Amino acid sequence: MRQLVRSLGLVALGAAFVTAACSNPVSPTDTSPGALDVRIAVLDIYPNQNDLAVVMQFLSGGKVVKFASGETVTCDNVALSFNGLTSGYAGRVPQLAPGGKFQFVYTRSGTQTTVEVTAPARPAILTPASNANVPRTTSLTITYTPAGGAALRGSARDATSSEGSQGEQRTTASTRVWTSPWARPGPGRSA
Amino acid sequence: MGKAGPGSVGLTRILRYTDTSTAFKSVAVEYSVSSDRPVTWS
Repeated sequence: MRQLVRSLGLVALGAAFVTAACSNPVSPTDTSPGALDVRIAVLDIYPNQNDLAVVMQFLSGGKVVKFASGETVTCDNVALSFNGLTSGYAGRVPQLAPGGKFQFVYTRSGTQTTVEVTAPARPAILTPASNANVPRTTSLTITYTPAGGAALRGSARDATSSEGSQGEQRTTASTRVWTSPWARPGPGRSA
Repeated sequence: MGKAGPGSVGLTRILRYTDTSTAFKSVAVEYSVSSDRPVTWS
């Protein structure tokens, strides 16, 4: 549960993709698919875990929707429940191999509406090499294989803490170099 | 990031797109996918 909250919190606070609830969610009369805007966030940021966090958010007139008439939301047959932290229907589902398709299903009055989301390949890090000695400099370069996507973020962890790069870097170059100021020299700090 | 010793670096790729093939009024998707690489901070 702690991991779920952490992951979903990142969706809401880091990506800021789903709409934050500035007021209480609404339960509109018309919950037909054509009346709903949908935002889906998939957060597959812990590659060593077997599952990942998903959020399916519904908006009506720009306001977050919390259904009140028996509508259900699932992803790969896992029931998603409304989560106030993400202002959407959230849960954890098993990871899929690249190319696999997540099935987000909204059911209203027995009628299903499905959105498929294809799992992409993970970023392929070229350097630093696995288990390489990396100096704690103020500028760390990570090279990686070019691939699709709107943006990249870098991160670094030691035994007790982690840091992420500020903002996002566009993925436009053919040879990708990530330079980030997080690896600062100096004494360690507590998490 | 200050402690020498074992750690890791990571990259997160963020994909954003819209899906117009469904019955919903609109669908926007954001997919974040990461890789980690173990390193030793020196």
